[in-house]
Amino acid sequence: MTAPAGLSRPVPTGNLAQRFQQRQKILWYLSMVFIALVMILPVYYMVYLAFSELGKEFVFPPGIIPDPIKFENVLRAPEGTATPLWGYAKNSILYAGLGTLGALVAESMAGFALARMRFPGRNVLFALTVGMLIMPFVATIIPKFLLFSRIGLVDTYWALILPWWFGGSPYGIFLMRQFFLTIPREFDEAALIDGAGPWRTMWLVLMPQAVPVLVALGMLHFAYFWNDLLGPLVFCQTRVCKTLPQGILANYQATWDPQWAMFMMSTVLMVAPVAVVFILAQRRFKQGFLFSGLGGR
Amino acid sequence: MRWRRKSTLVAYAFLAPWIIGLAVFYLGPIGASAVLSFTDYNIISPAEFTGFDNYEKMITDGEFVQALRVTLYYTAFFLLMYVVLSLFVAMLANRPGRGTGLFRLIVFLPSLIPLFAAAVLWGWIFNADFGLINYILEEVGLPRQGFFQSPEQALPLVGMLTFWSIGSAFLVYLSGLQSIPTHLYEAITVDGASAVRRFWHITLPMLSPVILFNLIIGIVLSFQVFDIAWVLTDGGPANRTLFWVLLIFRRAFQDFEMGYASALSWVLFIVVAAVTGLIFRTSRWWVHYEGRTR
Repeated sequence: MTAPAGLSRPVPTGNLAQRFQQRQKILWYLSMVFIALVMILPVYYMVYLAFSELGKEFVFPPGIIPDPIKFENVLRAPEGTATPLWGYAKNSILYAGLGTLGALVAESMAGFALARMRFPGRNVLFALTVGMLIMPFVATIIPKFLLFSRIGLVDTYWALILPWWFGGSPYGIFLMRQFFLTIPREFDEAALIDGAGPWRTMWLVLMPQAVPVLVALGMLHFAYFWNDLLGPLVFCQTRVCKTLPQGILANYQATWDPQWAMFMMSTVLMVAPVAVVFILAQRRFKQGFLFSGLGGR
Repeated sequence: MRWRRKSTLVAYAFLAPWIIGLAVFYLGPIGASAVLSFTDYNIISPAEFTGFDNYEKMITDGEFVQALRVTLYYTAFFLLMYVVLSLFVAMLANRPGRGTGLFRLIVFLPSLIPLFAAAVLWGWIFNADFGLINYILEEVGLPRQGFFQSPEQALPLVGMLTFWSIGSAFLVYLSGLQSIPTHLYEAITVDGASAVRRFWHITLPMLSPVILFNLIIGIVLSFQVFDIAWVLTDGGPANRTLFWVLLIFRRAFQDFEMGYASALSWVLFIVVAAVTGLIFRTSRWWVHYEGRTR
């Protein structure tokens, strides 16, 4: 199970009768095409609506492409139908950016210590970390809210970001630990001979090798923060720190007659940067870059 | 090797952020919500100890019973999509051939769309009066459906729509499938085994640790369903999509019944812990660890 992903060629077809193989292949292609169509349809419809003319989004029967195509929606949507989206976008970038950064640093440090150092209490700490994997976010949300409102952090970015700076997520720690375990210890020893302590060994020797995992984990975090609705809903009830999902929803609910094209375009613009980064990264790190540190375990 | 043994202090320095986080944002809150669950607390006046009142209230609270039922129903649907169907899709994507790269991308793409936006989109596609699906149904001569407005159809529909969010489970399966050594398949194929037997005797056992992982993550995710109910159905019609977390959110942040809401979330935690614990327990019967070295 720990063999590097992608090295082995999957499922050989063996020496079955040629005709049978042929029919199997057609069936396989048909299923793929069918599932791909099912998967892509809502995405396509979303983009379709985003480029439709306001008020003419739902002309039935719909054409293959919107008629007319309104490219100016790209510029109009961020202005918002009630409030501009720029402020929300700034908050989202802060939340997702600082949250991801802090989580990655904290997760790497914790993962490094759990994988590489020997100290009393390690097993207990690791067991607790794995146990926290199953902690539902909502189970802790009320005391967290009460705590943050007492120390005046509700309605500031810190209520959203701070928890991620303290250790990030159990999932991330687990992943980083598993990854560090796959790096031979000879690296540490070589660094030690050169006089590096654990801190410098981690940052200068191990972290450069962890870039693919960090990118993958970072993207998972970023996408989660970027799309998160419940967190901001609880901790950010005023304009100062509301995020994009709240902003887009607020605009959508602001008018009696929802402006579908603008809503969809806002969403498309919100998703696009994340999607592009995902696609580029997937190209860059071909071999199943996500979960590469997990080794299928 | 020296620094590794040298000082416990250094190790704890590395772990300090996580230990603080664990205490302040995980163990502390779960303990605090246990304490709060025995009180009556509305933020403004001080908490009042009420014993097991909140838990007794829960049993007789029709809305809680409904939320429990709805959430379990949804979980069954979600796991079918997230654990079972996504394996099927991943196996399709794992065969070498033209177009599989694009296929993988297309399967993952919908998972990037934020749930609140997907909820609005589905709400429109399945709109009972002006929606696309009802238009198509009418064109081909079938009766129009209520969809999200129908108490019978709303929840199954929400459940089916989770098919578009299998992306992460799909990726995990894919990397699991790719790390199964080819020689196992070669050996069993030489023995003349059919595709079904290959799946049953190689793929499933070799993949079982990954299945366990997806199952656990899937359970934790599905019990927390919130966005679609918040944006689209508001728990309705007739409370048929009143998910557990929506109920907690309403009690806590709309009615400010912090004590009762804490009891609700504490029970949620217990249920998730019990279910996942049970699965871990049974996992030794069905999870196969190849070359366990640690």
